[in-house]
Amino acid sequence: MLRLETIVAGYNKSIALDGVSIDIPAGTIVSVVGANGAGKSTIVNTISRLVSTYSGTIRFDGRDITGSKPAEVVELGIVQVPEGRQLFAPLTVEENLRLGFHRLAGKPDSAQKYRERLDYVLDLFPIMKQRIGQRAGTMSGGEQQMVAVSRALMAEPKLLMLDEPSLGLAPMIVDQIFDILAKLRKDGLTILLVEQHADEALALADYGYVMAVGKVRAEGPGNDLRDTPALHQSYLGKVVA
Amino acid sequence: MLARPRPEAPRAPTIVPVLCILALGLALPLVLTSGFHIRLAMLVWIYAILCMGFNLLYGYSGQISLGQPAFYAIGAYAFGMLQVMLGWSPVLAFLGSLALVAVLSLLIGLPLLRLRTHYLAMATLAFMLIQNGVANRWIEFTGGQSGIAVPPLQWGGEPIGRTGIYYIVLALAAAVLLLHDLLIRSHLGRAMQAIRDDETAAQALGVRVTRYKLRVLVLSGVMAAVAGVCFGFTSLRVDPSLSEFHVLVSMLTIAVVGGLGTRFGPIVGAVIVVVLPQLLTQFGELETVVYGLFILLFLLFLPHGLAGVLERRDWFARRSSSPRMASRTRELEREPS
Repeated sequence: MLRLETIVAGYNKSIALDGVSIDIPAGTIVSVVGANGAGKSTIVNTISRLVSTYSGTIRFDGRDITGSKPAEVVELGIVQVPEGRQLFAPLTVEENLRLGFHRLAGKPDSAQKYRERLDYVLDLFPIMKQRIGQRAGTMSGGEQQMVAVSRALMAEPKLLMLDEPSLGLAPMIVDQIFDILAKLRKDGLTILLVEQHADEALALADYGYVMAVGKVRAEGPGNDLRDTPALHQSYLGKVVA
Repeated sequence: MLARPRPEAPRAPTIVPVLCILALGLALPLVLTSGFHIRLAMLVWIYAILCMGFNLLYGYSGQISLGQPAFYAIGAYAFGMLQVMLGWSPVLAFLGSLALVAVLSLLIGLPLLRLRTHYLAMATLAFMLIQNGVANRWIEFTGGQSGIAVPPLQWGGEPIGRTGIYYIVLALAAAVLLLHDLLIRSHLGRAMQAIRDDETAAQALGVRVTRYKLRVLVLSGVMAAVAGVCFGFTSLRVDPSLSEFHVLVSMLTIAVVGGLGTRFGPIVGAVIVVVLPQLLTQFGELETVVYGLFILLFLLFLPHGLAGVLERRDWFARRSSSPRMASRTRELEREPS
């Protein structure tokens, strides 16, 4: 569904992705793991076109989207849950969800569609039913992450990208969120999961990539990657024999 | 707005308070008998119009423009000059000046909205200073210091009386107020707040940030021009003082006192900033000191402005009544200490 072909990308002159190729087939969960600074978030933001690329191409359903604007990418159905959630804190949960619905807002039948999407996310996270009028900034971290995921789902994405959804959350909440991701895959959604918590993320994934300093060091089916030396090296540095 | 009632569904803000404010405005000339008081009431509406534009731009979209007084002045000048120089009717001159300001703000917005925070403030302030310089120095065109006379509005060959003028100002203020309120409660309003709170996050949700910013800049410029036109036909003279610092200071004071990013902040603030100095004249020479003290107290104790007080009460209500707090309390009670 989405394919990065030897992408070189970065911030000003410093290169954060150095020839990265990643393939995300439809209906699967692909996890990208690696230590801090490996370039994981840059992948998500490159696909969202918030980071500029120096070379390489991004293809979505065969179409070259390297030159697209962020809003055009969202219109195609590629939506991210940003790192650190980035909710609009002074707005209510409902208003945050409505902003997530931005992609579909102007279309005919949007009121009907909005209700459908709202019911869908409230079924996934029933706890939000009671929080719908609460200001997003007054919620706990776990609840905020649920709102952030819901906000992205409101856009009815084809590809959902999550950037460190476990950041600062209790392990129990992380499990809950990962369970939801498995459920979303069952519903046919394609997911790109970027995580520091490698073991859980790879266990969930159909396919995984291990990154270190801007390069893919290893790739393979999620479960196979969990014990590769490349994974340990990417977190702990090269083993000196 | 919601399809069906849900527990804790947020009450959609109603239009009732807007209608109350307008009813109050309608009744005002019945209470105010002296011409001076009517004039103050008109000034309140004019400043309210100017500040509603600023509120949309800065309060809701987070884009600070100190150039609003320039659009205010250009609106007023164009309204006068189109009538005097080109012989346009007042209605045509009104529409013409709005169109002129719309085009100007678009041209200025294209390069300037790439800037953020104090850089945007400085650049727009420079625009105000340039406009003021032109108004002052290009004497053949603008009349220099003494400005230009604006022909009085007429109805059936007779100049319209003070009360009539008041109702025209009120009608324009009502239009701006309704538009201001509609925008805030619409999807555009939410997109604007998203841009204010986090531009990148808004972009990641598909909000076309530059396009929205430009739209709001043009809209707030046009609102400033409406205020300028109102000033033109109430004062019958426009001069360079329209884009001097005291206008900018009044506008910012209204924003602070009324409350930025609130529905009624511009109106509440305009009432205070226009009326308070009149009440303080009894302090004689100490007037400005007492006025300054008031502003200081506002900043210390009401950082969200007067209109923000209502909203904050709302905030606490939402929090304390949320089931989460209730369930948390239950949890705490169950926990063995």
